[in-house]
Amino acid sequence: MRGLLASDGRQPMNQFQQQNIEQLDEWMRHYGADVLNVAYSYVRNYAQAQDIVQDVFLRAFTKMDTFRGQSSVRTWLLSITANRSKDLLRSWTAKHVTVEEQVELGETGDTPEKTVVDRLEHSELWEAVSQLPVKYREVVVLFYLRELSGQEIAEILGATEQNIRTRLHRARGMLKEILTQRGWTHEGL
Amino acid sequence: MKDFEQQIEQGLRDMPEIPFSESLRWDILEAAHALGAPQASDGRHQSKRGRWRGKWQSFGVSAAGLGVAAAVVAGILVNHHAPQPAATMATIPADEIGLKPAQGLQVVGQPWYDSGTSPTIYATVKNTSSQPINKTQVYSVMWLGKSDNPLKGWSLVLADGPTEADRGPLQPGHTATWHFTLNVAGAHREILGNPPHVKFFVAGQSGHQMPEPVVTWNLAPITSEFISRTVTGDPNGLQYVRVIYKITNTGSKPLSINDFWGIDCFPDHNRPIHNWDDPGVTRYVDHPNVGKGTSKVIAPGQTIEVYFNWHVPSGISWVADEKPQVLFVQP
Repeated sequence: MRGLLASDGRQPMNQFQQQNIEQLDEWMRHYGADVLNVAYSYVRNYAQAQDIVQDVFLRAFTKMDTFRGQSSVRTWLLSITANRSKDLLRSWTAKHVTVEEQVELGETGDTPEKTVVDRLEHSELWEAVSQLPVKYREVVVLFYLRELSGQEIAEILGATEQNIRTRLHRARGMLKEILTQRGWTHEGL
Repeated sequence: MKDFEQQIEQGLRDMPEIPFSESLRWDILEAAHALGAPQASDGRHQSKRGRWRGKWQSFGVSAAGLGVAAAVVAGILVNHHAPQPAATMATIPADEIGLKPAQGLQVVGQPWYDSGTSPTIYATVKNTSSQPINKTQVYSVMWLGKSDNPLKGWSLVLADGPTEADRGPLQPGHTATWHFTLNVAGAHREILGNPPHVKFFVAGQSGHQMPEPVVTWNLAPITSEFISRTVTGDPNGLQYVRVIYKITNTGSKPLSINDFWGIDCFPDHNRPIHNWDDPGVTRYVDHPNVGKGTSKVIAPGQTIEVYFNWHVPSGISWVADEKPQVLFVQP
């Protein structure tokens, strides 16, 4: 690696810092969508989800040297994501910005992100998932939408694999019940 | 019929994914950069102005006469000849390049594509001017993507203008079908899901004094040095040209090679290139590549080696003789 010369008045980055930036970028390329979508599944607010994503990756960046590789980078990042998302759900902010989010998204134009968010929010299945209590919703999202194994989800959520299997089983039943109550049938899906 | 739960599971697996946007990525990279290297109190920034004006003017005097024009994304297209307009004083800021819309060419309706084995983009084009338009007098910008900005597209092509069925100039009032065949393979075929756009611009006008409207593209804060060019393949078949440059990020932010495009310009018969859009220039466009083990992110001040792989059709010999020049543009 070559030395770095900052030309904008910043202190030059050393080789270690530069490697960390590059590592961070690699992680974002590989796991950015995982982190964003999992965060969004918790908060259902795109702006807040973006804040969580930024927080997750900056935490990972500053704690890169403490990551020992006992788990995969993906499960490590998603573990931070789950914790940060739940922190935010418990906070005052999460309960007071829903309306602002709708206004903001409406003004951003037809971006790919907005298009997908709109599609999600108009999906009755997604609406049903969103009605699940967080402890069930998170396993559904991690298992089906992010396609993680029971063991990986257990690592992310700090639970046993058996507990995850149980939650998943109950979540499926709850989803079926919600959708049936709404008059959904086999054909409806 | 599937079990209801199975259908729920399938529905969940088919849920759309919110894309991780480039702007979010850059926000985070910038924040991380600030954490890793604190901002100086004076907040100085290097001006980009002056960089590319000098660069292009150093290529030499305008190439009078004939030339080649066109290009690709990872594919092909080339050729033709047209008179060079006289050069006038440049008025485009040096950190931008200007594209003059060809107002006499109207794209009728929406471009479309045939996604067969050789996916081809089509556009119906009408000459609404009172003069015939030769395909070398204009060049086309084609991109696939949801954005109106070509530089935000999934693929970008600079190619010829339209012709009549007999390959002659498009006559006033006539309509023709312009087309471009992409060389996309494997996983890259997914880009065909993006809507195609085609616009036409007047060749040989960039950097010249010209009336509005003018479309400007930002130059990336990069300087470059030509290293080598290697031609392989069959001269009578498909040839592959690998061009290697050393490039330096002269900006203040990290740059990923996927965030800018290289327009690799080959002169015609070793005539010096006056400007990137001269009718006598063959232009290939793509994101640069880096070797294995080399980061795709270029830190401020960092110099790395990048390369382009161009596919050249049979019968084209100049690739082995002409030394290319490159400029880098970004959204």
